[in-house]
Amino acid sequence: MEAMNEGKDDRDWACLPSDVLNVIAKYLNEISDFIKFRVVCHTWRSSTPVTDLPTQFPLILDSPKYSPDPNLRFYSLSFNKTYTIPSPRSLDKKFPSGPSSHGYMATLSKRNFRLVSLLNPLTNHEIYLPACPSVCNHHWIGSRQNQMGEYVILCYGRLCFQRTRLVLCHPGQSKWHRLKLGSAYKNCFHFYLRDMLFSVTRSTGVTKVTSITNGATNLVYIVPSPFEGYSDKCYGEYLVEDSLGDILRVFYNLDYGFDVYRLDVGNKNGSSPCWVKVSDIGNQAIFIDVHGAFVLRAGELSGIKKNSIYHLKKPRWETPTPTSYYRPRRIDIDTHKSERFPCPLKYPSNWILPNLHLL
Amino acid sequence: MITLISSDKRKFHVLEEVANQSLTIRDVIEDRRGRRRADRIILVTNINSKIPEKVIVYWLRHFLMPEEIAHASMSHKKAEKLKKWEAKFFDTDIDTLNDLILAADSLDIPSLFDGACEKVSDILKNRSAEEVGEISKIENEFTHEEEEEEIPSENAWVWRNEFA
Repeated sequence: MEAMNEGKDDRDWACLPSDVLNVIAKYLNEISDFIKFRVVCHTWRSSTPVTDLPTQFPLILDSPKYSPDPNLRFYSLSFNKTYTIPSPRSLDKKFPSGPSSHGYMATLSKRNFRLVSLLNPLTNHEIYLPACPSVCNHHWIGSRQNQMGEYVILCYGRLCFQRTRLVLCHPGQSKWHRLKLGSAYKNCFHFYLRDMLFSVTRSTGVTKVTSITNGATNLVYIVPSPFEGYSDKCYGEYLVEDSLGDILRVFYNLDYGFDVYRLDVGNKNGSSPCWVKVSDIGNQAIFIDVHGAFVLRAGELSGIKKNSIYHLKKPRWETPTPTSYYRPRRIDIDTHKSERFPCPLKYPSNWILPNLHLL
Repeated sequence: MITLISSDKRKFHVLEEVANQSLTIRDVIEDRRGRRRADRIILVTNINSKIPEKVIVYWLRHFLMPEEIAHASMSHKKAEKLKKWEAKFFDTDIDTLNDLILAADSLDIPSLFDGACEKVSDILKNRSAEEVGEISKIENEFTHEEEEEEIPSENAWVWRNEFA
């Protein structure tokens, strides 16, 4: 006979083993429940690092651009709940200017468009970036951790495509680095994915894929437009990287739906890179808003449904209104069936994936 | 048949196949295979005396409907039934859940562990920070300075949205 453990009979919640506390917190998929769990005591706090935040359904941000309220308002679709978050001192002067990434939004000063920062609205953590070199309106096109462990941010003048400047900045550096790109990169939409620049020519839909290493650019390959008559048929599009590292290209179509293509980079036997239409993106969903798109894994706990597109952006051909925002909708990529969600926000503008850890 | 002895010296006779759901017990039995009868007695004194009964009830229910079958071929109706049964099983006070978690942890019964943890988190959901403190009987041990410095943004987030 042998006892399996020394006897212990305590019901002290603070003494629960760390791994048990961690598992309990994994089921707290509503972010304020998770935060409250962490402020109960030191043991609970240290057992649940912020990086263990359960997979979240992105929150919708009420555009601070049009709201006089200095507080930020968020809406959670999955919990049908509105959150009000006091914004940092500076935020009344700023508004999101690009897609969110790692829970951080790029913000610009309303008084001086050269002042750019990255802000996590949930923690109020803000990273100030050097003043931007170009005088155009800046559009933040991406930030992600590259292989060097650095975050790269690219900007370009959005209003004047003819005079697009692409600049990048590593947080911690004191200057923006201007990318030397030829005239072939004018009149393009740019996306920064997988450490590469994807430039889609506005008139033809041809995609140039360019690698950027240490500020030097190198054209890797050119992918033809996925369909004939691109300029007539394209009503807006996004490029995103999915959870497997594949590049997806999402087009609006006229039936209020979307068409999704996957980049086939070709192989050594001579087949060249091309876009392949897909009707199934598997166990993941694409989130689209005014500024960009990102992909998340679907899951029962987070409530994200598989093979779906959740979107907030109004398609380009619809009657323009003072704000180009749209009510949240989910569209099944395979069946094209759509589902509308109620949303109490006036100007639902961005999807923000809640994230508590520091960039 | 194996015998479990609880901390208050009560004996529970359980079929080996049933007790095998505890990976810890399975390993112990595996280790002692072919030895004397006395070796089929296992002390579970480390868990609260009320808990072995609950654990055995859980085992028996799951023995009738093993997990693998549950996922592969169990009809929808049966799955619903099991879900309902589990909801009832875990519908207990938070101290019992605490004991169940510790027991499931030391006896290594993954489904019981996950089920009890999920139930605890359900209890903690949609509560104010104070209520969570009351339920868990943990006094707020953060000093004023810590609250001001370390978790100010989280505080703002929690307090403002407490009753939202």
